[in-house]
Amino acid sequence: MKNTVILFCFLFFNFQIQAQKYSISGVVTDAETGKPLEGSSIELRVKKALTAITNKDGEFHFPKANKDIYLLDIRNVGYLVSQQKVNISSDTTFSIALTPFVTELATVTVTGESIKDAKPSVNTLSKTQILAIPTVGSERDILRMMVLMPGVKSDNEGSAGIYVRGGGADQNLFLINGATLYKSSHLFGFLSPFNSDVIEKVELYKGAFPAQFGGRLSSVLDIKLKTASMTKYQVSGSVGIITSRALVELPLIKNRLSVMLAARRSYFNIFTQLFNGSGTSEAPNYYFYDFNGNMSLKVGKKSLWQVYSYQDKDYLKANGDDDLEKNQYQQKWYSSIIGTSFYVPVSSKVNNLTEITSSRYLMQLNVERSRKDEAYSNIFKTSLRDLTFKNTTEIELTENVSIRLGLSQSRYEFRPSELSYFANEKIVAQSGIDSTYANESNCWIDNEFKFEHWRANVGFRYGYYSSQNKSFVMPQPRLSISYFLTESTTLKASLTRIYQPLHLLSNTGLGFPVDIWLPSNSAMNPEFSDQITLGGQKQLETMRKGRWLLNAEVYYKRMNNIISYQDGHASNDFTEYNQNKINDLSKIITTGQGLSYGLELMAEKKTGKIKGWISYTLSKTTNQFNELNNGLWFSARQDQRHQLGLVGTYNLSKRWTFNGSWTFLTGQAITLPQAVYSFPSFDFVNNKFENYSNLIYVNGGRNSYRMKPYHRLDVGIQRQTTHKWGAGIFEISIFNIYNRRNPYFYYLSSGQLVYSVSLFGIIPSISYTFRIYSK
Amino acid sequence: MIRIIILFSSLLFFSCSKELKIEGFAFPEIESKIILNGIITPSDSIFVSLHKLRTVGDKTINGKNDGIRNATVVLENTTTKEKTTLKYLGKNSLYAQSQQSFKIIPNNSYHISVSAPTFKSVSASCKVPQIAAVFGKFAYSEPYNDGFFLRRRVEGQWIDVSLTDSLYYGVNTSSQNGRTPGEITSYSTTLFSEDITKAGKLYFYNTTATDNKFPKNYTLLTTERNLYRYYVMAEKIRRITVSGTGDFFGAFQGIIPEFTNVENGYGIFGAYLSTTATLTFK
Repeated sequence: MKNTVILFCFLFFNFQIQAQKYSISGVVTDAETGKPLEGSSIELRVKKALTAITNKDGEFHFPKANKDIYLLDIRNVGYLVSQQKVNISSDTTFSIALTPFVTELATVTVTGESIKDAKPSVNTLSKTQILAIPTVGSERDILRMMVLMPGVKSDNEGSAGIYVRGGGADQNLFLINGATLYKSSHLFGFLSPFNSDVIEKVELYKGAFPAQFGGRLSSVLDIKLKTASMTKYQVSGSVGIITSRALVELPLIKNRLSVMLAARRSYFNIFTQLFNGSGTSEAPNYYFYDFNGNMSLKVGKKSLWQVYSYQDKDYLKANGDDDLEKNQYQQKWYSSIIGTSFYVPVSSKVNNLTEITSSRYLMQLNVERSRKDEAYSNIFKTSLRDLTFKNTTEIELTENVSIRLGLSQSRYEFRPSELSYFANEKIVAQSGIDSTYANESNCWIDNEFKFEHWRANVGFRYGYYSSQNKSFVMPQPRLSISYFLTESTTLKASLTRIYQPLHLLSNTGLGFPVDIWLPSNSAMNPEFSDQITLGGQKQLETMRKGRWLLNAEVYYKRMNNIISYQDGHASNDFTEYNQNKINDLSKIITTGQGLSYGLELMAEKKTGKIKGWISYTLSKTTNQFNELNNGLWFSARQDQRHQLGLVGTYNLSKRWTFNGSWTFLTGQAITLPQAVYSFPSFDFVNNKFENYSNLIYVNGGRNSYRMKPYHRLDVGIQRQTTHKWGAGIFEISIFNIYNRRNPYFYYLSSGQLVYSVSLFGIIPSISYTFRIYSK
Repeated sequence: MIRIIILFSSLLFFSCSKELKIEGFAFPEIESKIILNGIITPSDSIFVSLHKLRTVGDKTINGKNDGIRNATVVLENTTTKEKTTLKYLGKNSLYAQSQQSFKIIPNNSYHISVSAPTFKSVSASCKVPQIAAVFGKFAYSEPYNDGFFLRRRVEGQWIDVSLTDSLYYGVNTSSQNGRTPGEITSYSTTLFSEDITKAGKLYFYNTTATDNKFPKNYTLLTTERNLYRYYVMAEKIRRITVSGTGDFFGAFQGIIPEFTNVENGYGIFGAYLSTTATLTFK
């Protein structure tokens, strides 16, 4: 992406005595789009450097600069470095334009902040960080990258699901431009649904949630889509082994109206069509696609109206025919978001954002069997739809105090389980869980205080949820405080309560994803968690070792009313027909509690030829359900004591870059039996033992065993190219270069031997990403 | 259907998935205990089966040689204080006593104790239900085709007969037709859970049967709580085994907490009453 940048610096000179300090501040904006450039690095160098990072409004501020001649150094990824000498003898204003470095491809914009702006319990991915991680088949999967940060763990190599600070995979809120995305994966969980090409900004809140967020216990992944350039067109794309992607940005009316369209599609089905099954079976067919669209219209001088859409689909079809009958299996997963927002800066100190969004999730499973003149089928559907209105007003009361007020209203339509059984196209039986509606209202207030030595965010979110003649009140206090010991050292603390009135039932292990959303009702109260965090951050800068950012945080989290399948139950309780089965959720689901605490460390080197970070998490997570493990506490599936992530990138030259990442995780907690005995079959009619026995296993305790540790090294090499028509990146990457056979699951064979099944060995991949743009 | 799924997924993962046997997996050594299975009912002989608890992966003991042959099994009617010692039958690790020597009486309590060399003694108690429930109504539907057979829906109903102690129910089906896929068979299938529903004091049993001329016997079992809980546990374990916890597509379905009323050991000592209704489709 070609970017042009104009930097406005405002420096105010006042005549003062020599000891007086001068305040220097400014703003960085993108000349093409008029958007502020976040994450630009600003340095004022003399004997000792002063540093700052532009905030989301592109602003920076040096409150205390001595009278001197400085070297002003401004950098941003994708732009040439700008350096000039500036004489600071009073408050002064500068205006500087950065020249874009055309071979740099746009991915996700920087969300880095100055150490004072750093929020507790938030993971951000900067453009530099994303480019530092090797891809798999050109896919820069945001969730897979997040697991290299502290406090975020993956399920295993076959899943893009994440576990944040001991929470389950169902406790993460995925927001695209403020709208909830209920389907969180492609390819049976291997890839996340987020196309990195269209993402402007990614923030993962692990705790210290601002009051504007609610609805999930463990994390909020807040994704903002790009706004297309309003001055120049751009076409970019990528060809990889898993998917291909394309992105088009079109300015329809210069500086007034623009459109962005992006699509991604897999092409497994092209390869699978090359294989034929036995007999007359057709080859299985699987594909997925997703589509992102965004239209932006400037209204007046500063107001912005946007309409956006996200659509995706995963589709699997397989046939199995023989001489007697035909069998067909189809499974479809849909996700859809349509939204509109209107941003109005009422004044220089007040702005307002109104959003209306609608999101839908649907999974449908069809199984058909036909022979001669007879045809039988069963169709299972589960779906959730919401319609949400949200309004947020930000008011800057004083230089030090600002507030954010908001309210939202959501209406949900749950259709958790609909199973129909057809014989010759006539319904012969139906079962399921009754469809229901739910309403959720929220209002919130966030107060932000910014002072010289401390900052605080004091908020309160009040929620009201009703469904099936049952209502719940959800008061949620939020508090986070930062205290600046020095210019480079910050202490942080936070206290949060958050509610989750929607429950997600997912299979706890293998199998194709069947996610069933359920409302809170008289049988299931809303989940809620309390979390407290303490931490510190320090920025180090030495001539030899470059700039380092050190971060440490401890957390303690208690989760209540979390849900799980009871032992012996899984999604096939809903998807398989049984005329006598009663879908009594109280017999299928159990509610319980969870506890997680841990220490998270991260050291990141931000400058120099070698950049990267080391992250480490020490944590413990346990669960307790009355119906599981005899009511005793047990290690959660996601309880992995140690997690280590190493990420490094080496810039060999302007065009060549090597990168690599190494991950280590303690083995997953699993359940295996300790003992076994024979249980002779008994004939109750004739009152006698039969001549054969079943086996009954005696378990030592749920999740009392550990699989082998998980570790993997990925490496990649990139070459950036420039052309008359634009720029490109050619990349070769190798996933799991030392071919570690990480366990996917263990099982006990009939011979009572333990087997470990692993999915992915070494996987080399090659990709080419291009960007075509107007000059 | 599973073949289709396997075929597809094999294409996705076969080239890279791999299965490794983990040599010497460290299952903990366990103390061997007595497994006692004794299920008693009035007006019939008493049978008790004794086995050993085995460490998982132990190659030296299997289902053929895990019986306990040299035990002393004493059964006491704690209501009448009458006692008897069961005799070893010489096969299937069974110990027995004739009902002519020792009677099982409704509403009486029984205590069993077992001692054997090298094992800790085990004991358990149960109470025979006071009264047996009886099917009150039976109904069946017109035949329909389920894709394989003509079937009829069968519904039975009975009234809860619990007095002071809560009683539990199961239904055992049998017919003279032999084994036909999807058909109730001459082999007993005891259903303690999903086919039975309750509304107040009324219980309902819902099932299907193939539409044929053979008489079908439905035996209604009235049990005390422990026997019921044990069979519910066993049924869940059977279902998980069938679904395949270790199966690639089986979806981990959790573990079933073991239940036993045998002190110092495992297994079940329970009692039941039974009544039978016969149904022949017209």
